[in-house]
Amino acid sequence: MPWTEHNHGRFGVGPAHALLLALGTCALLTLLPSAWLTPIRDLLQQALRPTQHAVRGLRAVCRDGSARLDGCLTDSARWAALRDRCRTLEEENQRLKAALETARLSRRSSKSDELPDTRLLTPHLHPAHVLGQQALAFLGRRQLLDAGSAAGIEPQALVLQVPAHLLDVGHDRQVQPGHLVLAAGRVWGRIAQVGACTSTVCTVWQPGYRDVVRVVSPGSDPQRGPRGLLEGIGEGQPRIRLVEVTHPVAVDDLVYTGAEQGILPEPLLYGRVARLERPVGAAHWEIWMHPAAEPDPTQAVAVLRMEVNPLRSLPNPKASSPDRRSQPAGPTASLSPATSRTGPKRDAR
Amino acid sequence: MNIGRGLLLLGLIYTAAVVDTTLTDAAAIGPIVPAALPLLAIVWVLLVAEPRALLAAFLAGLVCDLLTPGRIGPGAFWLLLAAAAALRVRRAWPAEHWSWPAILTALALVVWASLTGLSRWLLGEIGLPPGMILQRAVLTGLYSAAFGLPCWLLVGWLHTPSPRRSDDDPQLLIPS
Repeated sequence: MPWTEHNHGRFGVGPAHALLLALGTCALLTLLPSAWLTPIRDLLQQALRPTQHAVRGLRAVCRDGSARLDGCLTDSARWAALRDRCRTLEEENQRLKAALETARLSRRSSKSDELPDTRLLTPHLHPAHVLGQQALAFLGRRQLLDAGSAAGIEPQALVLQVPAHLLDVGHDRQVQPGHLVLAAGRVWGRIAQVGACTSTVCTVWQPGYRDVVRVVSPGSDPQRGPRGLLEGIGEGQPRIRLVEVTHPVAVDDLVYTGAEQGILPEPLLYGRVARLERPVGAAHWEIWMHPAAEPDPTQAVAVLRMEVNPLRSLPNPKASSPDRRSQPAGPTASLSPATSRTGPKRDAR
Repeated sequence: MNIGRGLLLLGLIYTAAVVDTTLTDAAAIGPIVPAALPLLAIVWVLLVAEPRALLAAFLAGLVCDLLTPGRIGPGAFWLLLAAAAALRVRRAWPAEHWSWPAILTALALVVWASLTGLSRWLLGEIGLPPGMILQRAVLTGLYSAAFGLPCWLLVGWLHTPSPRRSDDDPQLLIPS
């Protein structure tokens, strides 16, 4: 209906006039004092009240249901997390059980087996203690006093640097530079300098530390992982370089020593992969390792020293035995453990 | 306006009043609260598209003023005026797309909220600075208009012409 059309309605008023009338009514209502219209307000409130009560009740019910649903969802999420944790712990338990059983079996077999250890090199652990501040101060005083005397300076005496870690073993225990130092069975560092009775340690964290390592996923054979070069960088976590990106490496993979093959029955644990990056176009991973040993071990440490097996340095008694003479002697017969299963002990007897 | 449509309008106004007084606080974003009654009035006016539909704006404005503390009349006045302007524009440019009435609804609500707020500020009922009143009014109008979008989408969907089947369409011929 056009606005200008004189199409009067039932009361003889056109749309434009009705609009003006309504607007005028509104303006008049604005001029009225609020108190005059209070009864109308109360009337409207009374008319709305029952429905408002019903809607508020319905809203409360919905709110309770929503809260209950939220609680159920939260509980289910927590239960799922607990179930995952339980499954992880069960897997860990299974793995530890298997490792324990393997260790028991190997120990039992090593006890029952009468074979002597015929490896050329045998590891020996020398217990050592990390010298603390007071010990360093005492040694420092002693060194100063000796320097002041005419013949005070002992041969091979160390010049101490306070931040260096100092062990109470040295040439007197056949310790040499490069020997691994273990703390709680984990690699802590390497002997850097050796004195008469003391030696300094370059820990895994310190710059200049380098070693060949293997990165192995948990549960895998620790002797079959990709090799890399571990470097201490002074600040933060040590880095592992030269691990090719074609090898799968993940966070929490274990890092073992990679250069002690043939010396140790099992590689030693360095730590685990804390962070890794794969730069675009790079051929090697950028890996940061979290060492398993503590930076400042409170317990006694041990120096891993290699020695030539004394059994191997002895002349082979079977070579001249009558039983042996009847068998064909090969080039490896004297070194083969199978040929000397009971030989050395029997001959020793 | 016939009796059925009038009763429907009264029921909708009653429902919108209940929603305004009980449920809109759940949808509030800070101080911005959607206004159901003005939204209903504008949507009704634009849907019916007749000058008689302005009665809905008048009634909804009055109920809105009665539910709001302060004087009665400014809200109804500006709502009536905004609805009339929106109806005039709608009749002048009757676009078919659903977004056009939605935009008109938003504009009308922004105008209503701004002018009502400024009127109440002039009457001394609101102590906020005019700039903040305008800011809140614009946001209130836009936020309220957003709740009318489903209605306009539904109307647009209902008015979409369905594809007619033609017997002459060669693609529909099934070879015997």
